[in-house]
Amino acid sequence: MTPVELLLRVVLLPAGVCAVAALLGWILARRSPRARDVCLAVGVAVAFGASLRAFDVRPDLPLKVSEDAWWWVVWFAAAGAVLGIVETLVRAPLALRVVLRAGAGFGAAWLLLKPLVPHALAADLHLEEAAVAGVATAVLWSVLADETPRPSRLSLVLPLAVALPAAAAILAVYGHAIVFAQALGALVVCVGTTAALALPRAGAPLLPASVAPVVALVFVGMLTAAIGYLNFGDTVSFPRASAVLLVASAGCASVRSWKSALVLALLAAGAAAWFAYGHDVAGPSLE
Amino acid sequence: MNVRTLLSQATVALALGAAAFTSTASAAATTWAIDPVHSAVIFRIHHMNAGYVYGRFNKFSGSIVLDEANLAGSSVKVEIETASVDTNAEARDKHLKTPDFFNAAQFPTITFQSTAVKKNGDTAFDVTGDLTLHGVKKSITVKMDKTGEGKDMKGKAIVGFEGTVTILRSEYDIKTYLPNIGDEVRLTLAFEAGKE
Repeated sequence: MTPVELLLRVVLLPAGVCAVAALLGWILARRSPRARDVCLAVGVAVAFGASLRAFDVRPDLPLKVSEDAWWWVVWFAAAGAVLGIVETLVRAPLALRVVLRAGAGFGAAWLLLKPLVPHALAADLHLEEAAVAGVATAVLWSVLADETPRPSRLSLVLPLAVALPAAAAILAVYGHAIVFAQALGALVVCVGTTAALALPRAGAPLLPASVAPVVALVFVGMLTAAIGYLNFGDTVSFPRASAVLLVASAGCASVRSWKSALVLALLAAGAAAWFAYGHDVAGPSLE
Repeated sequence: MNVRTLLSQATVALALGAAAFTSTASAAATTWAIDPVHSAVIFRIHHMNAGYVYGRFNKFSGSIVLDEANLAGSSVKVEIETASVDTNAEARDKHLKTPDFFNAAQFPTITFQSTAVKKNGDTAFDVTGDLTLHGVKKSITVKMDKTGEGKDMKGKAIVGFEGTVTILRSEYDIKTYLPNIGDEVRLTLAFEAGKE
């Protein structure tokens, strides 16, 4: 893939789709305030799927064991959009929503790791990893969907802007996986475009709650797939560090200023890099 | 000699002849176990439109059933451990095992199971069968040549075969880095097998 093709598939295509969704949402918001949230949730999921399709990730339905299982994150993005729309339209008690969020994360991770059982993953470890993914999804989704007024609109987005690329870099360098990094890169572009287009609209959240499940399911799904399908060797803690990094960074949104949140996120990224410094790691061979 | 005796002797002769024919036919189908120590599974792929990069799979097993009188009864089965890929470069080998290429965690084996064997000369065979790679099963034909027969150091009968086949990796959903890393992959299969 040439740099131009990479730019087109990972950046311009998802950014374009998100921009169209944002424009449509802005137009429809005049009739219904929730239309914007629905458009953005669908837009981010479609943009992510379009980017992956552009680099030949084409999962079939029903889920086929004969295809790369990590391709199913495309369907998880779609499911995330549906769940985001449901949560926008139906207000259920918070406890029930958290349980359902954990269930969605558990189900996604369980499906992703199933093809590895039993030859590469023991059955009990399968359940354990899925449970961890369920908890991580519930926490991340809840933090991202929290509509409590924050001191700054940037408080949430800036940590994401640090944590998502950091996770992509960790997967590429330590996991030797370019396609995983490309997929997370597409997610970064979707989130960034959506937030950037909302900036001029004073008072509007940069990332509506409806987008939270898409981001949470895709991110946790990719990290789960990385743990299952990549050989991190001694550095297996790094994908988990990415998840902690993101959750901690998103939690920084409760800090008083976005600058403090960004500093904390950068400190967390720096700590992960320092921790990795002593390991003998070779990135993707690119050969 | 009376007729009854003649008939009895003829019946016995026929029975013996049938038994001999049957035993000869089944004895002609010989099973050979591939000896991985004296065999190789090698591949080559074009790199950046310049040179060829060679690699091998270090762990594999299989069997050859050969009946030259009745090739319909012949078969070849090979099973290769995907994670045993070896291109003499650790970083590249790690990369090859990821979902960028072989996805060895999900697809731990590459298999070939023949469906037909045809003779194509004195020592040449066309072996058609299903190659299952990266979760995709496709029919391929490998042109195998019988390279010789002999006995090993312990007196056990051994036979050698060698053949090549070219596949397109894109047909097996391995499309990363196309076209910089070539689509055509030439497989060379060199087997020495011992009689079971």
